[in-house]
Amino acid sequence: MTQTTQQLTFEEYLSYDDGTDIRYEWVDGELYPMTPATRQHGRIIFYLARLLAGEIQRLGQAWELGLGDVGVQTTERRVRIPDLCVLTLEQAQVIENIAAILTTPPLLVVEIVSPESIRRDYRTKRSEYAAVGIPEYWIVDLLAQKISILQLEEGFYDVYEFTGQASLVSPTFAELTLRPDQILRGI
Amino acid sequence: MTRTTQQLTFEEYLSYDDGTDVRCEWVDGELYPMTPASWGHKSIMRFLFLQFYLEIQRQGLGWEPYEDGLGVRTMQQRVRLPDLCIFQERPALARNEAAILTTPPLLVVEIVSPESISRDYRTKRSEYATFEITEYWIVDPLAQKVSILQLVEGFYDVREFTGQERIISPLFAELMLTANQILQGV
Repeated sequence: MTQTTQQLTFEEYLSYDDGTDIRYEWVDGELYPMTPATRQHGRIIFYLARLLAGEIQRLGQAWELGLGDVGVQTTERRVRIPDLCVLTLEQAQVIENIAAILTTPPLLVVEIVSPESIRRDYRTKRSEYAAVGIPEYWIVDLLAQKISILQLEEGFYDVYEFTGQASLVSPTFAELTLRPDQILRGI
Repeated sequence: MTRTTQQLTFEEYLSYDDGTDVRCEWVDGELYPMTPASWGHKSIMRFLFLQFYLEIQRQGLGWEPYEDGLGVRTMQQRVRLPDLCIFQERPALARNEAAILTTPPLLVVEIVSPESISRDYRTKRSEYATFEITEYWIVDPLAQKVSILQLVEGFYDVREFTGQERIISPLFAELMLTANQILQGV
């Protein structure tokens, strides 16, 4: 993620349009374009979305999925766009017809690590997402071939790592059987 | 800290006065009165304040230490009252303005009490990191240890010190103090 050099207010960020389809995170007033995801990333996101959507329907939960198109405001000057997030219908209704930026914490967010995002995903966002109260945060790491599930407990995440064929334990999706090797392959 | 049940806006929090001198933190709209500090707690606070003050003078750092009562607005909906904080420079507030700062101090110290354990080690660990406070000390008389949390890429790395171990502070690299000296407050 390379940054542009302008300082934008929140309102300017909301209405920012440079004519491209590029989405931007907004961090301390500056725009950070989301570089196009690799085919590998896209495949993983679709795989997870399919599985989670199926489970949400099976459970009859009033939840929706955001796929890199829902912003989460983490501080007064930061809006993050997780690769995937689970939000309630109620939350979705608030952003139904306006810029899709949540000011309440989604139920779950997923980030897929890329070489330039390692420390941001494991460190910066680990503090930020915890501070705003996102109950569950997944870090999908192709480079290290592992999936970390961060569970929020008293405002801080405990990390549980899963590799290979181990069965993921997700508090939000307690009955779902998911394996890291399948997720990382995206099939 | 038990909380009252009302929801206050920031402006209401600023003007809140229940007739007592009890200070309150404001977290997600709710008031959390600070219970009176124990004597041990106060001794540690005073000791550290003086140590920081002397070290700042000695090194000519120009930093500003403050004891409790100074508010730090860590998030839109949160104002914390750290036991001790050090600012890089004197905050530019008007004299009649509320002593609540919105820029991060360099360093914050929290002294653990029985009801604040998770709050200090967990909640504030995420909160202070997101707010970008460079160094966060957790002084724990219950577990008899001093933890120094150093901000690295938005997340704190923790080093613990006990007994006669000399604490290592990235901000105060020349400070010669042991964990015991801090915990005893002398």
